[in-house]
Amino acid sequence: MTSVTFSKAAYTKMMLHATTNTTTQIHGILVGTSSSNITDAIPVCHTPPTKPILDMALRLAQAYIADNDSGSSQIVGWYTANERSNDDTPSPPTWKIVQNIDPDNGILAIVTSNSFDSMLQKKCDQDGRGRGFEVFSMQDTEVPMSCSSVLVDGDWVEVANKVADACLSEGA
Amino acid sequence: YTSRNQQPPGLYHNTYSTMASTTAAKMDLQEMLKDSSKAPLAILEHIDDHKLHEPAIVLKLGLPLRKSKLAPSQLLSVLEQIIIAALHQKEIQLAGETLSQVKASTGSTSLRYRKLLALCLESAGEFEEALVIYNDMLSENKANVHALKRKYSILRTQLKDIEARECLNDYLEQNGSDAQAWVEMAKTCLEQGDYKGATFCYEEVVLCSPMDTDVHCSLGELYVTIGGKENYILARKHFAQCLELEKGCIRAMFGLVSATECYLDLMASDQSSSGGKKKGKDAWDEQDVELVRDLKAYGVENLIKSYTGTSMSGLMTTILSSSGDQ
Repeated sequence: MTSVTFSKAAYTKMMLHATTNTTTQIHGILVGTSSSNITDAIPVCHTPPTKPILDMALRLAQAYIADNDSGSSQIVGWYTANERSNDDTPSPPTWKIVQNIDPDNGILAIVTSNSFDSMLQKKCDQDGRGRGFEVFSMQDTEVPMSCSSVLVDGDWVEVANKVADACLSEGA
Repeated sequence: YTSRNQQPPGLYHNTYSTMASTTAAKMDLQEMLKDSSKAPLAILEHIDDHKLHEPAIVLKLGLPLRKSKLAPSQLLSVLEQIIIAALHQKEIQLAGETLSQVKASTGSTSLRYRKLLALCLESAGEFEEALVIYNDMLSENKANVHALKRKYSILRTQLKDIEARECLNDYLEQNGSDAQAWVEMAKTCLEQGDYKGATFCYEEVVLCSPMDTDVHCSLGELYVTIGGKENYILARKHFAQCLELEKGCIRAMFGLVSATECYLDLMASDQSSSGGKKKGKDAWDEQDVELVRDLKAYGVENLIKSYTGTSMSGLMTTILSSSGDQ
């Protein structure tokens, strides 16, 4: 099974985006050095994505990456969360976005209800179960396959608990 | 039309007047709460009449009235408000006790009692039992708006999207002027990627709320997403209307730039493939193309101006200046 590495920054931003928009779908861009190494997440919107939003968001993300990096990073995938609790299947438009970003190696991370709930209750285990999201990859496969994820630095329990504190802090 | 006393001519539902009247009702409620001579019943009636969401206040004022000597119809109204407020505050036991009081008064076959029972069942997560009650209500009266809405809500919660959409369709066939329902239908369409369906829904919403900038912006974005020359023209009209209503709407400016770029890109690819030989309705009107270029320049200029002095200024100038060269 393909494994995808996440930085703490990318993980925290995804979870915070989900926490601040609990009643709407959320969407954002995943940035990394490759499709197996996610270094950053850029929130895009919390409404159904449309072409103007995507167009401008991707352009801004490209310009941001070029500005802040030496050119090693690129847009590698998309993250999302659905509006309804227990609705953990990525929607058709989301798949289309990932395929347009990278049809061969695109990565999709989806914030899932039970896992997100576990993360907020600090029940994430060492293997990352209850971290708050699941990852799908198009790498080496014609249909999206679920894959495991690891943190680039630190263990899941410690990092997930800190992220939970950030999500539940005042102002989040 | 921001004052609740000013109504535009014609018959339409202005979201601004609804928002303004709710705000005024909330302010009146605050005044009533400060006035110690105001009877609790009058305050509860004010909350009910204006459909304000104040469950804590309803419970605080309503609970002491449960055993008071009110007229039967007034007491039932208070009990109904208490049950709904208790459900909002997750006080299921209180809701159940009050429901028993309603049942003793009206009997178990009363429509009002069954409505409240179904709400209590929904709160307890017993959706199938609640659905049975709503389906019974609909078999007695197909136009029961409350039952249709609650049935739709339950089906959405259960992730039964096809049945939910059919239920919402039934509702809209009978209540075609309910803008919120059209927005809800648009949402279900967008979840499935049905942009044409969502556009149809938003066209209905814009008839009800022609002054709503969000609706025009959403419609413009949907037309750009669907694509095609005619749709790009419609898109820029909606973005222009949005900017007419709200000059500083950033989202509409982005949309306008996107719509005009798509139009010009389509023209460029169309002309290069046909060698510029198209005639009649397929031809690209020179005046229209000039207008599109002007609109794009307007959008780019205003976006750059809006972001001047912010941390995003450099990024915006980079991406918009490069798009302005096209």
